Amino acid sequence: MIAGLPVDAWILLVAAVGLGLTLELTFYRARRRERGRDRT
Amino acid sequence: MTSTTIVGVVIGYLLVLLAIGLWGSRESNDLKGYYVAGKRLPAWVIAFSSNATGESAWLLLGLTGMGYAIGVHAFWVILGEVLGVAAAWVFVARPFKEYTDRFDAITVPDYLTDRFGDDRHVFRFLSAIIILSMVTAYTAAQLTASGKAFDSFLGTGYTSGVWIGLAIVLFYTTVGGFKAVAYSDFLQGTLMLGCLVTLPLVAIPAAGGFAPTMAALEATDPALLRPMGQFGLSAAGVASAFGFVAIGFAFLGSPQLLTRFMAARDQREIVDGGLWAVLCVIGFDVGAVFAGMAGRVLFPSLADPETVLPEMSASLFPAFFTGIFLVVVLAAIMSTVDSLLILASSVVVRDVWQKALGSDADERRLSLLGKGVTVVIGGVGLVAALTEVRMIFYFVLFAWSGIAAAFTPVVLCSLFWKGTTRAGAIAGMVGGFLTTVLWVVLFKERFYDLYEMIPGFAAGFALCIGVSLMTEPDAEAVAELEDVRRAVGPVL
Repeated sequence: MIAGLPVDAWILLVAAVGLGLTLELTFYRARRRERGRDRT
Repeated sequence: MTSTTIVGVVIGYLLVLLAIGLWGSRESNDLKGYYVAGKRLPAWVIAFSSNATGESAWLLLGLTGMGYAIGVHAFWVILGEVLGVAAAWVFVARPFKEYTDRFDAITVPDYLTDRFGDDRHVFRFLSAIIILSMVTAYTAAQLTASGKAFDSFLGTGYTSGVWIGLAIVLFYTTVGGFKAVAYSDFLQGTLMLGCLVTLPLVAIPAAGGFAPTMAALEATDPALLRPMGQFGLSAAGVASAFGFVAIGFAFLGSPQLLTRFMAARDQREIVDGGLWAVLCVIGFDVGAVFAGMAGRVLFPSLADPETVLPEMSASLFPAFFTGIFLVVVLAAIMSTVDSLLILASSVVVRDVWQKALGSDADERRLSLLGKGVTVVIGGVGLVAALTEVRMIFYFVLFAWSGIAAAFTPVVLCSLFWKGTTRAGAIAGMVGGFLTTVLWVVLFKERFYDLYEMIPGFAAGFALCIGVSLMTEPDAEAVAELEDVRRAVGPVL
């Protein structure tokens, strides 16, 4: 238990938020980098 | 006095919507303006509009109710929705935008027709049948929510609540077109996000703090804190979790959401919009589930879990904020109804009347016809809502999956697999839709209540791929797909 919530529930919550967010941030950073290269 | 404050907040909100409708009216006089706001929307508008449309009243009443009824098991919905939204913006949005700009498409059937060279307009007629039937069910469910919300907060009675909700939406949708729809969605999405982030931050301390809330939930029912819920790690538990995850897959190809990508100003807006959209859906879903869980501790004996949000807002906040919460519920309802009505109108006027039947009416007349059709479809939804009152959650998820299963497998195959053929796409569309309907009617109860979107998607993909393998793809379409890939570039 962490703060009253079982560890497996925390793992599910972190995965639920983290998987999609990581995918989006990776995409966003790659495109921004590409945009920066285009400008120079 | 309290009631006066709440009514004042609601009237203020409705006046803002009417003003947005009038503001958008200048650009709603031709079909491209009325249906995709002239393809000039910025990132933040398409992001919030897409999420507000996708989520509907189900988010505020249904998902908070799930947090209340099943606790941590509802985290699977968060997983599916956050992944679904992220994947849609990362993988689908840019090639879809590139294609639809090349074809000057303003509807999803427009895209499918051009992508597969469908001279017989089969995609347009099929889309019209599927969208009209599902939109009517979906709109009726949202209007049901409108009746419940007005009655629950203001005591207007169910029927009056349905009428008021529809009248406001019809005004700003028909007057302001897609521009008004998208910008009102932005306002509504922002309100929804604010409400769902605030609600657990107030409700959890009111229930004694985070750890005491969890302890109280465990004392009520230990299954409320288990990821697999009351079923445990059984076939029923897996089917239930998988079904919840699948809810998010609809973000990958539902026409009401793809329309937002089409309406973006350019590819850059899509890159920026994706991050907004993902952060927004995280706030929506995490907030809704935790609010419902805290609500279970604060109000343990509600007869209908879907009333937990109105109950919490009335008990935990002063009257002004209760008014804001009513506005947020209405916002969720209206942001979905407006988009569905304009989607249904577009398939009737653009796809069937103008393109398939070859009407030579000028743009202004077609736009007027579009507005008339919007009113008629809203009227059909109204009749359904007044005669068939059901659980919002059930009704919305059925319609959500019917549209998604018909379009998503076909749209994904058409964007990413050059072997997709016209015959395969038609088979996938029909198969995905029919499987969803038949699953609900004949099989669902016998297979652990497995959510209909899963067999619908499976059938859609299987038929689209299977039939495509038996037929020959058009060489020109293959060359176009490769050209689109080159133009869009790598994903990551």
